[in-house]
Amino acid sequence: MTASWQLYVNEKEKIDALLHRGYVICEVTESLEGATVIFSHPTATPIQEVLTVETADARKYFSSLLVHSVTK
Amino acid sequence: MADLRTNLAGITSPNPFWLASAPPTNSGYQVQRAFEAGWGGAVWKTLGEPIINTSARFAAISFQGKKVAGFNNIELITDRPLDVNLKEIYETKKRFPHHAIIASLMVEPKQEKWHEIVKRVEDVGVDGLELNFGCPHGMAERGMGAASGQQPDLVQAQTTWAKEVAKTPVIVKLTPNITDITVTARAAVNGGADAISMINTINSLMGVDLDSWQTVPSVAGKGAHGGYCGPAVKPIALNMVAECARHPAIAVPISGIGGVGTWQDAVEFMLMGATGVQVCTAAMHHGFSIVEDMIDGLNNYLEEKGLASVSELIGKSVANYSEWGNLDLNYRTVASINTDVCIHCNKCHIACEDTSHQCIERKIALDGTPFLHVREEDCVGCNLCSIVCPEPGAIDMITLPYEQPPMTWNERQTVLATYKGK
Ligand SMILES: Cc1cc2nc3c(=O)[nH]c(=O)nc-3n(C[C@H](O)[C@H](O)[C@H](O)COP(=O)(O)O)c2cc1C
Repeated sequence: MTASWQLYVNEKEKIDALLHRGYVICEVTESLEGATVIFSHPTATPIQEVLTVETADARKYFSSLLVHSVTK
Repeated sequence: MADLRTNLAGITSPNPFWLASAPPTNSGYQVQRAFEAGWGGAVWKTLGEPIINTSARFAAISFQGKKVAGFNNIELITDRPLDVNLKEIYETKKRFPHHAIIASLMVEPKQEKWHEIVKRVEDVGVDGLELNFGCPHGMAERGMGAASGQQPDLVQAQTTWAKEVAKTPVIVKLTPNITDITVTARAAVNGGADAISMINTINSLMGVDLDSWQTVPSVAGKGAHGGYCGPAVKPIALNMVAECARHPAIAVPISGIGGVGTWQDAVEFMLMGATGVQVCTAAMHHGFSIVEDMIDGLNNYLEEKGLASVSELIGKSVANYSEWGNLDLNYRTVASINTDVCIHCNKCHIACEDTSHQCIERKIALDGTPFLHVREEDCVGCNLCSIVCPEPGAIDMITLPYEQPPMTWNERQTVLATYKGK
């Protein structure tokens, strides 16, 4: 059995890696598959990256970052 | 001794423990004995046109050795003439002037019927009135009780009619047989109710006999739905009290009813907004003397908490009750198994493996002893293992430090709305 935590860690690492490279979340679309998150960067190539975030913990994670950046 | 006196919309009583309108308050003999035992108030068995009851009226569910976990009845309102009841109310009030006697009333939804009965019962000196809009069987088939209590317009109209002539406070007793009790509670308030009480009994069929295939209870081979009450209904009643208490348009006192049998139950209802409680099933199961423990326990609790008066409890937990959308999604609790206390029954492992998140592993220590281990990172903090664990203290639910700042679903959705694709 794949631990659900490991699936979360995999998704979190992808999110963190993009953020680390200077991408910011610019669009989120939630659907039956989870969340499609579009990251953009003004200068990098490509200027957009798309992640499908499936696990509940990772969907919670990126939205916490967004909420926190608004309320900070 | 803490001050246990209560004041519900002007109705005062020596303590918050009242008997609910039901068999324990059927007669002056019973209510007087109840007051001698220590009950602070009694809501008299509902008065109205005297009815005829069936024989075979009650049934109960026993659950794993605990008798009367839930109780069911198909009894109607009083079967005694109004004059007889009024005479006994008068005599009881004379003997116990400082105890609360509330007359429970049920008549057809007609203005003149309400005017007549309110005037007649107030003439004998009751302290208040409780309008029974809740009886779910029999009376409801005749357009009274729950039938009129499920229609907000009828709740409001009948409350208004009672209030047109009432000189004493009017409590409206609500039925739980409705999707949203705050709707009928608001109707009562709009009709001028001085207080509301809840809950009356919940529609129920207690069971079917496996040999005879007849309902339980069975009246000559036939059954009809009854009203459910007792310990099993407490969470339903507590929620309904709390929903009304936190509703800004329902700013009247609440009398809490449903599954109260101990002082702890009473405290919970009061913390969730009730000014006092009413008891039926527990008194039917154990007798009037249970009130002694309730009074002692409440008094000790108040002293331990450093509270001078029971009124200081009212509504103190209401602000802690909210919508799901206001709960913090980043709060984390996980199971922690105390190996020293664990009896290795494996119930937690089975529950988690079969029906939750597969995070409790069975392991063997180096010395060969079996033990259970929680993989914290996979534990969602559902509480199931600690609920099924038969050994007190074997599983604690512990709070983990925050990894992300608090965030509610409502906050999340508000922010995410600004990130929506075009
Ligand atoms: C046998 C029986 C008869 C009842 N009769 C009445 C009644 O006449 N009027 C009324 O308002 N409620 C009546 N009730 C409902 C109780 O007053 C109370 O609302 C309900 O039983 C929930 O409280 P409990 O869980 O403490 O029993 C009756 C309940 C029982 C069990």
